Amino acid sequence: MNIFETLAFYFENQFVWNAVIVGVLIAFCSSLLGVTLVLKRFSFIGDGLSHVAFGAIAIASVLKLTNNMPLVLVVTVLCAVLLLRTGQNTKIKGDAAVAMISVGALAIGYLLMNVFSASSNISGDVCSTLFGSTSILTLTETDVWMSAILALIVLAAFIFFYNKIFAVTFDESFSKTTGTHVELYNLLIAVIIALVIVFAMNLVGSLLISALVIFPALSAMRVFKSFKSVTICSVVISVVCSLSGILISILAGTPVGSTIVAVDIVVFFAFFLAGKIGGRS
Amino acid sequence: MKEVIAALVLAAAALSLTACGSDSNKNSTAIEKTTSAVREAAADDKIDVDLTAMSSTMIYSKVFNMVTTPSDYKGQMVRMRWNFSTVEDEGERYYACIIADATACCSQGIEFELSDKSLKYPKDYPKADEEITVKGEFDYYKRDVYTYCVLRNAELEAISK
Repeated sequence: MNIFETLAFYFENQFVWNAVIVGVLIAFCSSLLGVTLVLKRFSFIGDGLSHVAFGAIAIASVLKLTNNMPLVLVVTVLCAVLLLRTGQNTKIKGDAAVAMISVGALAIGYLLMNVFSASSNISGDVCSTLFGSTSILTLTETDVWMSAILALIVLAAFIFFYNKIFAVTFDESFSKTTGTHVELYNLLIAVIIALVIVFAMNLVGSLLISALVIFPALSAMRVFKSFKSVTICSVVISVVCSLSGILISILAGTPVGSTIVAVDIVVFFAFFLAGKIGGRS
Repeated sequence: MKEVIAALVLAAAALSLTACGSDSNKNSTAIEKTTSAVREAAADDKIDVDLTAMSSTMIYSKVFNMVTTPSDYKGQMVRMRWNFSTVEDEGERYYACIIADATACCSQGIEFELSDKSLKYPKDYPKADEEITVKGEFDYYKRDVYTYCVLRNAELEAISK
């Protein structure tokens, strides 16, 4: 079988279609907000929230919840809001708050899973959650629909609040003086990114989520200049990298999450070189 | 140059044949006797799910799918290749083909029951962790609250170390 016949053979399975659809949607959502997060120096908020989501998954498994999504979503959104509020507190700086919640949630999550989990393969469960080895290929139809709804919400929020997000991203002080509710829009961004993180855990696992947020934005910034062009390019890069990563991983038998991130890294260096040659970097 | 490559390929093939003909044959003579006739007859059998033609990521995902929605696959002819595993529980011995995921931290397994009930463990069975190719009809059963998947009337098609 050649590569196309092999792909055609694999695509006879509905779960491969599910993986591709959800992968593309998650890549789309994460990259859309990635530019804002990178510019606002919030790159690591994704990492912190993903660890919180891991902790919430551990709690859900201890409570033996069959559907852990509602609990994980609520906890992650609450922590996103908390991080944002704490970030404004001068006693605990933003990066310290992210680090504290991130590491704390990871440790408590692992502790709970070890002490209370009934699973016979704790290290497997943890590894799968952290690195998302094949979880993207084990999605249900409900997951696909939820990802589609999430993508619609993120896209609608981005289009509807584009000008405000743009203003808050570049100059919070100026936005405040013009009467924009900066805290409200920061909150909106934090809540949306929390939603994206929870869904993105299926794609790359909680340790690699930041790559989905950061790499496409940074790659686009090597070549493009304006907020709009960087955002559009970032979305295209993210979707192409995720799609390529999924296809490579199912063809070569490599872990899905790390393959996507590897493709992101390669594309970053390609854009870095292109930027150098074009005189941008 | 072509001759050199051909010679290397032939040498490699000869070596691999020699390797295959050593210990694994001693352990599986009975199985081969039993299954070879069936294998020949069933060479053209329809395989609904051929896991041997997939990458490890796909195999793991497919098996996960089969285990989580077993009713979708009931009655289908499945062929799989991975490591042999066996366990004894409450006086009954179970045999399985275990598949690890790409990060090797998770594994999925499908139990199998050989069609030839006269074969005895351990002499007629592969050793633990030996790679096996097994074919059988997919089925599932419930015990307590758990659902278990099994390949019924299975044949061991190949064993390799």
